[in-house]
Parts: sequence; C-alpha cells; structure tokens
Amino acid sequence: MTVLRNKWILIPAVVLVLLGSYFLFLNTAFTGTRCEGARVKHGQVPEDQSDCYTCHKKTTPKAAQDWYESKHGMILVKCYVCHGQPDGKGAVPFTATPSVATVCQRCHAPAIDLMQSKFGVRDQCETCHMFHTSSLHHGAYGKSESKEKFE
Amino acid sequence: MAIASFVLQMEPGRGAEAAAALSRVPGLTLEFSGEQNLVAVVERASAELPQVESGLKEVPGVLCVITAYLNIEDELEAAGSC
Amino acid sequence: MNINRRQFIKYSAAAFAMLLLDKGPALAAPDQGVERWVKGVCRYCGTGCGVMVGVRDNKVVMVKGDPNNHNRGMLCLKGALLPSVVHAPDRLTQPLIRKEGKLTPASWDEALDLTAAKFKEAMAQFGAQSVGFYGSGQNLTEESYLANKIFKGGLKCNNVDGNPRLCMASAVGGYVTTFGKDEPFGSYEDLDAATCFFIIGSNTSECHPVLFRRIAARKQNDKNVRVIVVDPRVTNTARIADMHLAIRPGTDLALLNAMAHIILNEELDEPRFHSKYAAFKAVEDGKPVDKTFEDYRAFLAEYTPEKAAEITGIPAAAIVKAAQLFASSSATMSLWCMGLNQRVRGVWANNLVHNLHLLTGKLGRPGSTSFSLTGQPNACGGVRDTGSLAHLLPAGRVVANKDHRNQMEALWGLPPDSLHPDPGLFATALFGALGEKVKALLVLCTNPAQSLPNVKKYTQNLRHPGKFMAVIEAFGDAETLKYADVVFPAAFWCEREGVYGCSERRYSLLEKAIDPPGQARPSVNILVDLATRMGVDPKFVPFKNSAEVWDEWRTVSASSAYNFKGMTRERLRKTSGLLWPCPTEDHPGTKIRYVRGEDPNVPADHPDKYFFYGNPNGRATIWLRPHKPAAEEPDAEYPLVMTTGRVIDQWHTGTMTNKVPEIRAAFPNAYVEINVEDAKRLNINNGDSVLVETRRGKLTLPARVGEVCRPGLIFTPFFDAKKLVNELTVDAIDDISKQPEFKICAARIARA
Ligand code: SF4
Repeated sequence: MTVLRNKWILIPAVVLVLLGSYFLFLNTAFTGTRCEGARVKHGQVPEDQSDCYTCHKKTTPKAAQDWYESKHGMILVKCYVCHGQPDGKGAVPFTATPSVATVCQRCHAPAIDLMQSKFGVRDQCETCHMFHTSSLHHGAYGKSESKEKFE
Repeated sequence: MAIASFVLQMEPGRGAEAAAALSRVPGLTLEFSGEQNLVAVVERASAELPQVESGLKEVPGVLCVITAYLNIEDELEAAGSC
Repeated sequence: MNINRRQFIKYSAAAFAMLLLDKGPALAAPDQGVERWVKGVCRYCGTGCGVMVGVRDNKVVMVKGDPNNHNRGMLCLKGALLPSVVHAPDRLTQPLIRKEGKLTPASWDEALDLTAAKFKEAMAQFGAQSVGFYGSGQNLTEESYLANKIFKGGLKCNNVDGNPRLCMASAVGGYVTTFGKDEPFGSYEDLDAATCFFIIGSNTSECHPVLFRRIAARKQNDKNVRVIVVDPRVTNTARIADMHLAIRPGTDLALLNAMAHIILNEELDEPRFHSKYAAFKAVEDGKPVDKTFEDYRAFLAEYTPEKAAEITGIPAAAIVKAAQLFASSSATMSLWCMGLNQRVRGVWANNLVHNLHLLTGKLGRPGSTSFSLTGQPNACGGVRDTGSLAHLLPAGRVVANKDHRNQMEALWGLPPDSLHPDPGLFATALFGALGEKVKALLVLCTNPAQSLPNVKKYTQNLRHPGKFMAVIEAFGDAETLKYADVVFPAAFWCEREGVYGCSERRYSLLEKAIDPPGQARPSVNILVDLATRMGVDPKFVPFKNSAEVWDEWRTVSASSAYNFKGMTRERLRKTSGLLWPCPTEDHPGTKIRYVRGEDPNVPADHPDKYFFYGNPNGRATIWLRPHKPAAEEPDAEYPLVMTTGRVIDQWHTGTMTNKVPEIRAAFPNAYVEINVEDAKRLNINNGDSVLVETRRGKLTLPARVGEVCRPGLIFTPFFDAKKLVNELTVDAIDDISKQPEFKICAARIARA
C-alpha cells in the first residue's frame, strides 16, 4: 500500500503501460464475459463512427452519459478537446485526467485564478468540480451536493 | 452486478469517523484509508450505483467523491464465471 | 493464484482509484513554456471570442480565452484547438504561378507583375468593369476597406463582393429596411438579461457555441427563462429549449406572420411603442407605400394559427403558445442566422422578426432585442461596415445614391462624380460572368470553389480559358487553388495585426504574435503592392501597414452613424474590444442603439426616448410581407427537402479545421442525416451508403439515421472537400439581398 500511495514518483509512462496491459489482459483473459464494445480498439474504428462518443456510449456508458448530461456535453466540448486522441498524434495529450495547465486553462483561466486565490493551489480541478457530472440543470444527478451540505 | 471504485476526500481529522460509517454500507469494502483520502470499492446492481454515489457524499466527514473506476457488466453473474 | 474475473476487476478498481490519489501539484505546472501571451480574436466564427495566444520561439503553442473580452475566458472546441492550424504543414510559403497547368513557385515580383499586367490588360481592352474582387468576412477590416478603396475608388470598378453575400446579405437588408441602418440594435449583454429567447433558423449550439453557453447559463440561473427554438431539425440547441417547433422548411414567413396575428388578436402588443415609433409599409408595384395599423391588422387576418399550422406543420396550439411567450415575457431576444438569411425571402424573414419586436415594444431595453448572428469573424466589421459589397460604399452608403458617392469622393480626395454610378456584380453574378464579362478576378481569403451554391455551374467559369484569377490564400489545399492562375501566400491570423468586428458591433484588435512562414506577407501589403503596379496612384494607397489603413477608416467613419473615431489603435491595444458608435476617445462604446442616452447619434435632448435616425421619418418600419414558399419545393420526382449547414467540429469549407489532428480524426467526413421514418420506408440503415440526388447533381454519402431531421428532410454539412455538397444546392437568390437559398432544395435519396 505504501508503495502504491507514493505512486506519484512513478512516471506517467509506467501508468500508461500498466493501463494498457490491464486492458489487454482483461480482454484476453476472460473472453467469455467481455462487453461488446471492448472488441473495437482505438485506431481501428470504422470511419463513420470515429467520434469518440459513438463507441464510448457502449463501452463506458456511465462516463459517456455523464458527459452527455454535463455542461460540457450540453455545449459540445467533446471528448477529444480535453482527453486528446488515442493515436497520440494530436496536440492535446491523450490522457484520462487532463492537465489543468494545458487543458482546463484554455477556458477556465479566470476561475482557476479565483480558486487559487481563495483556496491556494490544489492538485486538480476535478477533485472538487467533477468534469463529467457537473450538470447544467438544477437538481440533476451528481451536482456538487457535497459542497452545499458541508459548508 | 457492477463494480465501481470511489475516491473520497475527507475533512481533516474526520477520517476514522467516516470509515466507520462507510463500513456499514452494504457491498462496500474500504481498500485504503489515508489522512485525507479513502478508496472504497462497491459491488452493487448497476442501477443502484447513482444512489450509492450520492449516499457517499452524505457520509459525515466526506468532502467530495470521485468515481474512479466503473465496470457495468450485469452479465457477470449470468455468465457464471464469478 | 486462484483469482476470478470479478476479484480481478475489484482489485483493479481499487488500484485505479489509488492511482488518482496524491497527484503532484498540476496547477503549478508550466503552460507549455509560454513565453508571452498576445491578445487576439478567434479565427473562426462570428461570435468573435477574445483569445490570448501563447507564444514560444515564434510558435503558437497554446490558446486560451481572453477573460476581458465578451466571452470571459471561454472558448469552444474549435477555438481551443486553434494552435495546430497556424503551423499546419500545408501552409503556403511562396508565390505560385500556373505554368503548363501546374502551380509552380515564383518570385513575388513575377507573381505581382503578372497579376497587375493581366488586370491592366483586361481594363484596357474591356473597361474597368471587366475586373473584380471577391473578399471574405474573414479578412481583416483593414484588408476589406483597402481592397474596396482600391477597386471602387482607384480602379473605378464596383465589382467588389465577397462571401458575406452568401451569408449576411439578407440580415443587412432586414436591418436597413426596418431600422434604416445596418447592424444589430443591442449587444451580447442582452443575452444575460433576456427572459425569453426566440431562436429561429440558428443552430446556435454548434455555430455560435460560446453564445449558446451564455444562453444555457442564463437559463440555468433563472428558472423562469424560456427558450423557443424554431428549426426543422432537433439540433443540440433544442436540448435547452422549452419549446421546439419543427417547422417545415421554407414556411418561416407564415409562422412569423401568424405570431404577429396572435399577438394582435390577444392584445399582447404594445400600442404605446408601435404607434409612436413604427410606420407601416408594404411594397406595391415595386414601390414602398405607406400603410396604417388597420391595414396591417387586415393583412394579418388570413394568418390564423390554423392556417399557419397547415402551412408550417407546427400544431396551432404551439404557435399560439410561442407567440404568447414571446409577447408576454419581460424581455425577449430573437436570434437567427442562416436559417432565415439563406432564403429567397431572406430579407422578408428578417423584417418579420423585427416586426414582432416592434409590435411588442421588445427593443432597446436590456434583454429585449432582435439580434442577427453572423457566420464569420469579420463579416460585420470588415465587410458590412466598410461597404465591401457590390452595391455598397463605406459606412452604410450605397453606390446608387449620388450624394453617398459624392461624400466618398470627397473623403477619398477624388474628383466629384468620378466613382462608377452603377452597383457592381454580386457574388453569384460575379462568378457567373467570370471569363466572359469579367476577365480578371482577385480572391482574398475565401474558398468559392467549395462554398458557392450550385457550384458546378460556377466551376465552369472558373475553368474558363479567358479568365485570370489570382488568389491570396494561406493554405495550399483550398479547393479554389485548383483554378487559380496566381497564388499569393498570405500571413495568417495572428501573423499580422488588424481588427475583427463580430456580431455585436464589437471591434477588437488581433495583435501580431508571430512572424509569417517563409515568404508569406500580410494581405494589406500585397494589396498595396498590387494596386500600385496596376496603376493606382501611390498617394491614394499610402499605407505601409494595417494601422495606417485603420486610421484612415476611423476618420472616414466619423462622418457617419457608424462613427468609431474614438477607437484609436492605442485604445484597441489596451482594451479587449469596443462597440461602435464610439465617437470620441473617452466614449465607452454603445450597447444599445437608437435610444436616447445610450446611442451618441441620438441627441441628448431628443424629445422621444427612441429615434430611428436612419429612416427619414425617424421611425422603424413594420413591413407587410406575405408568405412565399421556397424557390424549389419538393415534388413527386424529388420528394425530400435537402438542407445544408455546419457542425461544431468543422468550420466552413474545412481548410482550417481539417488541419487540427483531433478534428481530422474525429470528424473527417460529410454524411447525410435522414429521419427514421424516411429511412425505414427506403430501407436505409445507419451507416449505409446513400445516393443523394438533386436536379443539379448527385453524391454518395454515409447515412445517419435518427430523429434529428423532421420527416421529409435531409441534412448534409458542407465542410467536406471530398464531397462537394454545394454541387447539389440551388443558386436561386433573394431579389433584394441577392443571397442564395442554400438552405432549401428538393432532393431524393436511395441506397447506393
Ligand atoms: S464560439 Fe466561435 S469565436 Fe468563439 S471560440 Fe468558438 S469558434 Fe471561436
């Protein structure tokens, strides 16, 4: 556990390799129960379905649905704007957790400055403001209720 | 059944209190508890997960909750591979 | 080890969660080593978001929203991904001349001399009207103003038009005929105050995303805000709508007249406003004649909700509800774009929206306004305001008016009555005459070979052996280059300095952030160089850079209601945009026009609150415009309606957006959107190849079957150069604005 806790010393490449091999393993080890979408791999997607959302609706339904219902989904800030593209040839780094400095800042620089002056430097915006589940409509699932309750 | 893991961020000094409350949530195992963070893995029917998640947010001492991992495979049981 | 899938998943779930713990302080990470931030404006749409361009080593490495501009730091998908476009591999870096059918590198002198010689030759042989200029709503204001001055003032040739003819001309016609002056009444700030949004013929969410975000935020902040969306497609914009009216394409005039009928019938109008500030008019035998309120009421009598329901396909009750919402809200804002403009009755449709506002007095107070959205970043500031269209002169003047011509002659230091008195050729006429009446054409920063309607017809002209076409362009893969005889490499976006004016009359300065690649030069310098070589007096174009052009244009504007003399370069450098009128250097700019105390053109002691100074009677006009269908309605042979448009990922003809790797990977291909009912009937499944046919051509496109289009309608985006959708569109034009009806033509489809 302590090793894992101190994982910030691991370079991101190791994380990626681990993730990669994990999904590879999951795909090959339990062939009987893998889900439908898992058969399509990044980079082998049929041309007319290349929009990330089309596949991720099936493969990661919760993440896809969260995005769709979120502010970002509502105003069409699409997957690749923050997460980059799988072949790694894009300008945005391909990652699950986008970097504040290179991604979030493009639109939210004023908010980031405000939050920093209020609360000091935190690790990630996402810790408190969940990208996907920040909803446009009042009372929708996942709206940052915790904050309202505890302050 | 679906499996999800959550990272829970705690108010300073209330970790133990929250851990105790969390241990009573059905289907939930605490995999890690640190000073500021807890990691909980939950196994529940996928339809119940949203309630579980919002429930976690109401546990005393929890500041906020991130869904870290989600695997909705309702066929897990049916396939008998478990 | 005995481990099953479920346990494995659990372990990995825990491990994955732990990976997320204890991240390094990402906020403190450097911004990709940005050395300096340079203020600018997004290159793409008419929203005109302010950007900060992050530069390192003469390279654009990042773009973020300008917190001080109207977008308050926000950008949409395209804006956020701008850097890849600037350093795209297919940027043009040296002049090209077509030799033996191939574009081959040449020197600047060769290219400029050849172009000047061809223009001079044409003018000597066939007169000044045998040349032309085709510009764009993406040029800098300085570039458009200068080209306009060179051609109309220097060469005495009025064939100056541009792609705003395909996009904004009807909105211009609407504003001018109703209020007397072009450009919107209000500003984007109305979006934060409106309690009812009437969005008609605009997919704001994909075409003006940052404004859509503002509308959505407004709706989120106030539960009482209502959004009405009128669109034959259930677009993403409709997701925030309280009412979506799936109108039958081409029936907007009937709907708008019916809404006016209901407003009068339910006594929801504001007689204090329209009796004092509006005049009623109709066109009879080609002449405008005065009408009375009673005439108007009688004219509307036939537009009952039931009849409108029959024509538009919208239930009568929904039309009534929409009219009630519109009229009874405390502040209503209408927004529209190409859905109304790209129609053979585009000007009329614009008039009818203004009518609703004039009837209900929903104008000139925060949140109450009729606001036309522009497609391009500088169609308003650059082309409409500088008068760079064939029938216009700078600052709202028109070619056909002798006084206006004389004013411009005086301002430009030309002898009286020296400007050509007849309007020049508008976009489709200009290309239709290319090779025949028009021998030499200069195209600046636009891609007509993909964007003209019924484009096959015009590519014949582009191929005409008797034509000469020089193109100033930044990207080597633009469709139009296939037909160019000379290509000049242009400095792109933040590689030179200049002004963009967005939909809300806001002028913002794009500062120069980096040097252009290779031999590429700013278009202002190319134009001056060309003009002098064509024989224009160097004293007439004494400009070394765009700042000098700006100073002249600023001074010229002072004699008009556009007056932005107070927007000095220095001031624009300090602020993130100012809204004209802005007559003096201490004037803060104008949010609301025609209102005493807001608009500097209305005298402070004017007896009435509103003053429509653009019209001789001081009133705005409520026009009696009957319903007229589209030019090409569906019939037995071509039973479907085809409409075209944009998607959020791509912009216009895709020459820029396709340079972005993320966009190219995610959204490379055009498609045809079909309603499930039609698809079922024709046995078409999602993803099938479908042959789309109109009277002008056919294309095979992959099908997207869904509920987005209403039954009987198909939609295709026009960005894809591999599938020239404009080969199918119709080039019927609005006879007032000369804007083509891209939005409606008859089509049929079958599985390919
Ligand atoms: S909304 Fe338009 S101007 Fe604003 S960032 Fe997007 S494309 Fe650029």
